[in-house]
This record gives sequence, C-alpha cells and structure tokens, in this order.
Amino acid sequence: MPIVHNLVHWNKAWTDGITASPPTFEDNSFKNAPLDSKGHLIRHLSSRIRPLVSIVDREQKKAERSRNKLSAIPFSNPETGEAIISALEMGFVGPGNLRPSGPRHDNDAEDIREIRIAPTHQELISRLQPYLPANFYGAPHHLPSGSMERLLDIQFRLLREELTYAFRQCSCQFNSSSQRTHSDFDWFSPSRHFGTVEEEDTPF
Amino acid sequence: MEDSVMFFVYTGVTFGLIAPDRRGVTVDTRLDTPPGRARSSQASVRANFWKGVGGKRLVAGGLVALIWKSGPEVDVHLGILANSPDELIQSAKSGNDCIKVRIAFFDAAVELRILSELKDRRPKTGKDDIKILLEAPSMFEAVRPFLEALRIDPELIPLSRYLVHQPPNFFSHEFQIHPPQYATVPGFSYQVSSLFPTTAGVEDLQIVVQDPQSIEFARQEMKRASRLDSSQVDAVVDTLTREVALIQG
Repeated sequence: MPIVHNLVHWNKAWTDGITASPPTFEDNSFKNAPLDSKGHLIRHLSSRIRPLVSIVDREQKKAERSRNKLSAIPFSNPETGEAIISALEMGFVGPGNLRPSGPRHDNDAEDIREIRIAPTHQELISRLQPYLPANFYGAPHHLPSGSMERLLDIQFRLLREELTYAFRQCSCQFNSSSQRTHSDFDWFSPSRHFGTVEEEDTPF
Repeated sequence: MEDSVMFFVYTGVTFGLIAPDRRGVTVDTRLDTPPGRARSSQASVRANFWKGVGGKRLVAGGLVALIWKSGPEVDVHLGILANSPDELIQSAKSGNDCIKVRIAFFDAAVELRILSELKDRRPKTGKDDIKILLEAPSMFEAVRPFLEALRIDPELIPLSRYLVHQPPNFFSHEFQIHPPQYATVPGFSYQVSSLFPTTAGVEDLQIVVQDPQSIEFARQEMKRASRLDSSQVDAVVDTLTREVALIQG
C-alpha cells in the first residue's frame, strides 16, 4: 500500500486522538489549545494530504490502465440519460492506448502532458477522427467525472483543436492529392502568378 | 460539409542560411512575392503593403506549414515564423519578386533535409520537387502558453469545487460557498468601521465569517449608517464572506 494511504490512516488516528475528550493521544503542543485552533489546523492538514492522495491515485490508475490495456470505459452519469449523451457514448473511442486498435498516430496520448503542442507530421496526415471530448457534464470521457483532471483535459484538447484544425484539413487535402496526377500541382508553379491574378490573397 | 478555412499560400520556396537564434534553429526562406500591390515596381509601395497588412501576415510567432512534394511523397512540416517585421519589409524593398522570412521548424528532420538540398549543387526543380508554404491566420505563439498552462498538476488549481463540471442545478440546491481561507484562521475578523463617516460614531464593527450573527449585525449597521447604499453593503458583505464572488458595477 502506498505510503500516502498510510499517511491518511495515521492522520485520521491522530485527529481522532487529539479531539477526543479526554484526549486519547498525548500531544503536548495541543494540550491546552482552544477547540477552534485545533479545528483549523486539522482542516489545513487534511487539505494538504488530500491532493497527495489524489496524485498517487491518479498515477496508479494510469499505470494500471496501460498495463491492462483496457479500452476506455467512459465515465458518464447514467441519470442524465439524454439522447445526445447516448449518441456520444456509442461513438466514443478513447485517446492513445485506450483506443482498441492503439493510438491513432504518434501524437495521440491519454495524458495531455505527453502530447506535443505543435502537430506532428503523422497527426497532420491522419484521416482518423481525433479524440475530442464534449464539454459538458455527463459527456463520456476517459477520466473520472467531476475531476479537475477531466476539466483540464477537455479544455486543452478543444483549445488545441482550434489551433490545429485548419492545418490538419489542409494537410489532408495535400496528401490525398498526391494520389492524383502531377498536373494538379501545376497550379502552384510560379509561372501562374503573373499578370491577371487579383490583388487579394490566394485563398485556399 | 466543412467550414471553409482561409489560408495564405506562398510559392517558390527556397532556402538560405540556417542559423541559431533565441527561437532555436531558423532557416532563411525566400518566397515568391504575392501578386498585386506587393509586386509594385516602387519600393515604397511594396514596403507599405507589408506595413499595411502588418499584424496579419507573415508575423513572428505565426504558424506555417511547409508542404514538400518530392516524387510521389508529400511531407508536411510545421514551423514558426521567426523574422521581425523590419526584416520582411527590407526584403520587400530590395526586390519585387521575392520576400524573405525566417522559419524555426519543429522537427529537426526537415533541417537535415534542407541541409542536404543546399549541399546538392543541382537541386531538383519542376514537377519532381515542389515546395509550398501555407500560413494560417492564427497566433500560435499567443495560444501556446495557455496550452502549456493547462498541463499543470490538477491538484494545484485552487477553487476546484467551483470549476469542475457539476450536474445540472448542482449550484442552486443548497450549495454553500466557503468563506475565504484566510478568514477562517481562528481569531480573524474584518474591521469595517472605516466604512462609516466619523459622524456615525462607529469605531469598532467586526465581522467574523463563522458567526452568522456577526455578519447579519454588520450588514444591518452598514445599511443604517455607513457611506454605502443598500446594494453596495450587500456586495461588500457577500464578498468578504465568500471565497468566490462576482462583482458587477
């Protein structure tokens, strides 16, 4: 058992001990402390321990997931039961290793910290739908519901998509046109750019 | 059925000096001047074109994609523009058929490819080798810090109970906003007597956030005799007793 979980038990035992009346744990610093000071300190300690537990649990789950290579069972709230959520769940394919057939490309990862912000070549030419979770309560997602981790993951992926969507569309077009004949690329040869072209930019 | 995207396309991509700068390794890149006013025979008109669109085109920090077709292979390499506006304008002034920018590519592999092309004294041209530069109108360097910031340890984000997705109506059903943490330290109180005019004769009025009676009393007294009007009193008291508050006005 991780030491952090032991820490939680020890903290609880100590807390129970010093708040019992009479105290079952002799702690000289608290012998004559007023009740609200004790309460404040106990609350403060708990608030420092909670994130530690959260970090350890999070990393453990991640390690478990990659060991077992479970396909993502999306967390969602069954009470909400709206049609749109069912539709999202049906089409849900997890990120990175959580996808049944493996990562979509070399920049597809479960953890946003492993995703390179600038798209990679493989990512740009990939024709697979990227993992873009919906941004509301109840939508399927690979991280626990109601967690800050999930919120940051959603915000990161959506903001990044805004930035890279345009380039991906364009790169895909170029890649598919490489299967066409050479003459399609003549449009880009410099000789076409003299004379009658409009002053405005060349839209794509 | 897709949204149409507006891109700028530049042809005639040729590479020059590769040099390190604070953005990393940058490649001098020549491009065909876009058609129109940018090709004017007068240097001042050309300079003004780039000054005029300045901030929207070929600006440092912008994201570009080099599309490099060599034989049947098409590769896409992303990079960031690293030139200053002056460098661009200078290159426009010195000739009307090409402009010069500097690009810092993300992948080292493309730099090696460029180096080997520079070494080759008879570079491939025409249908066998085509290079195009695409520019998207987005400020990559402006958005990147936000993306980096979102990768923080989730445990470090404060006020998470208010930020995470909650079920519908979660906040309207008996949800309490906690007082500010510093106000919960035992012995802490707010002293609001300074909000009263001296004529009111109020020299000591304290609010203890854990004591609802002290909050109510202060609210009443402030409405009775302080310098604030009723809605302002509510705003002040509500803000002092909550760790999250939205103030309007």
